Amino acid sequence: MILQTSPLNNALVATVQIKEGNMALADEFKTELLTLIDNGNQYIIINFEHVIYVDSSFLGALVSALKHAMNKGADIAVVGLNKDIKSLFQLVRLDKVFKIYTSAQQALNGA
Amino acid sequence: MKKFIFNNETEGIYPLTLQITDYIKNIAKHLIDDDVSFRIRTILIELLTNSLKHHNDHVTQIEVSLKNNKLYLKKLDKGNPLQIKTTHDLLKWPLPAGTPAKSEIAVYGDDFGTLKGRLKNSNKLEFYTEDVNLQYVDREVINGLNEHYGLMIITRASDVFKYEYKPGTGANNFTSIIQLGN
Repeated sequence: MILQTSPLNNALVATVQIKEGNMALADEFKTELLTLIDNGNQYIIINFEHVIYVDSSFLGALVSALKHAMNKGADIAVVGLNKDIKSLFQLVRLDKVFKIYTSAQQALNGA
Repeated sequence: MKKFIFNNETEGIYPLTLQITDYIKNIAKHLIDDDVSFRIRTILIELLTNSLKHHNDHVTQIEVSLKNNKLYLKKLDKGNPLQIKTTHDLLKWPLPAGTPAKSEIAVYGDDFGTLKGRLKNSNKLEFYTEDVNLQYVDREVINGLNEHYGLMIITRASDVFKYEYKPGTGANNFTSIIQLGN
């Protein structure tokens, strides 16, 4: 399992357990996220605090999951991004698409 | 010029990225700030990931050179040549002889911008992006988002990013150039 989940009030915090978000794990990451959405979770906070980097495949999986979430009336926020990952989001303009917060608690308050 | 060999295994991506970045910091210490360092790491991760997708069991070589304050990151492999599926065609390198030079193709894009390529000749392509300063993001924009970011990331992180196919050897060369300092 890539994602370890725990409820936080009306949200679900999904903590990414791997250090490298790369092509080898992108499909599994996407499948787990889609399952969480299909299980009826309305607000998923993805916690990247353990992740050193993500590549384009991982970003693609994240975008795909966001589309699925929106079409199911759910939403996704991301937290715990290190400086490189945050810069990568900005580079591909995903900072304008995803709700980005420092912590899960902040994401909860901003929901 | 310094050569590095990538074994085309996922586990090797990050260690090699750090190794090459450290080498560059050593040869151009005063020219590498945090932003440039991020750009180098990002380009290397995507170049190596691109190799994993297309390498066909061949090894990949990364060449690093510094000339006139320009950093060259070149990836060479003999995997599958570049293929780009545009709206109308599937372009496979080498392109047919007689392909008009300076033709522009849209590689992929969404409401935030488009990755484009400018053909230099039937073997060379230079990537660039056309960006849109989108003010409002709604569900329609999100549903239309591109999910392929590899070449887009390298193009945006580079000052110049180009591809060349070598017909004689079947080699693919991707070259990213970063201007360091002024």
